[in-house]
Amino acid sequence: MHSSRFSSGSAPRRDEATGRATGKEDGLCSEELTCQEVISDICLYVDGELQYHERVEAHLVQCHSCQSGVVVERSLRQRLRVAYEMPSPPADLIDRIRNRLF
Amino acid sequence: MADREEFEEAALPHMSALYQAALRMTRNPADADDLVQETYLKAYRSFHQFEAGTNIKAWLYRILTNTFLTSYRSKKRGLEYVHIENMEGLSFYQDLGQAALPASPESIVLDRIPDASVREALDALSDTYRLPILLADVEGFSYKEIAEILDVPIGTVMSRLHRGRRLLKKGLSDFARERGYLQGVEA
Repeated sequence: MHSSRFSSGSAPRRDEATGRATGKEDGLCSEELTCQEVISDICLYVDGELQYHERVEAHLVQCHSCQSGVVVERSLRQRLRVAYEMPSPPADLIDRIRNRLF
Repeated sequence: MADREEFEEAALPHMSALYQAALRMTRNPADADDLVQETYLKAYRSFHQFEAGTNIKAWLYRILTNTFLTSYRSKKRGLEYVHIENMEGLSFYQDLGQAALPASPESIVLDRIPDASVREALDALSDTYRLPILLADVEGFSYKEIAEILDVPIGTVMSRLHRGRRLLKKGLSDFARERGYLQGVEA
């Protein structure tokens, strides 16, 4: 999923708007991600669905703007989990189900 | 008929989670109660089709979701409440996400929004977007599991989550703006 984005042989691009493109000193990847690339995959990353998450992490270490984006996405999910906490089922529901089934 | 013991052991431990999911979908305890009972009746009748060793929780959620979509959702839920095409540039998430910030004011604002208003913002979306978000963010299912539950390709799950979350953020930012929560956050 989305692996082609991370395996192309094109030269790394620097994001002119943020100037946050990473250096190679971390040694984690041969090709740096731009802010635009990280932002476009931020949901996949936060959802734990991004295959090449270590490349995003290498970018995040040095990019406050994208870190902020990750914090917002995580906060949104956490906020939803709390807002949608629901009460337990009625105590007799399991017996009513059993009575209908068996 | 399904093996009773096997079914009880495999399926009934998920009853509480299914009831809470049903409550989120229907927003009504009586409907949630009925929906869970109907889900278990259908699951028991078709238990012979369930492949032992595979993901029974996702299988039960699939029956629950199908039953909800065919029998319980109100007609108005099929409508799109939010004007999707007019979203660009309106969200404070998008605006602030472009700036290098020392903190995350969006997260602080998010914490100020009451639970009921968070639910209202998500419940305002059509089930096309609401259900994948509930399944991913609240229930914690993977994209693959959601694809199985909703019986759609994984790419469709991803695009619905993407668009649904944008709609949700817009709803939340509109609410926050109306209530004045953005004062001191928006430049």
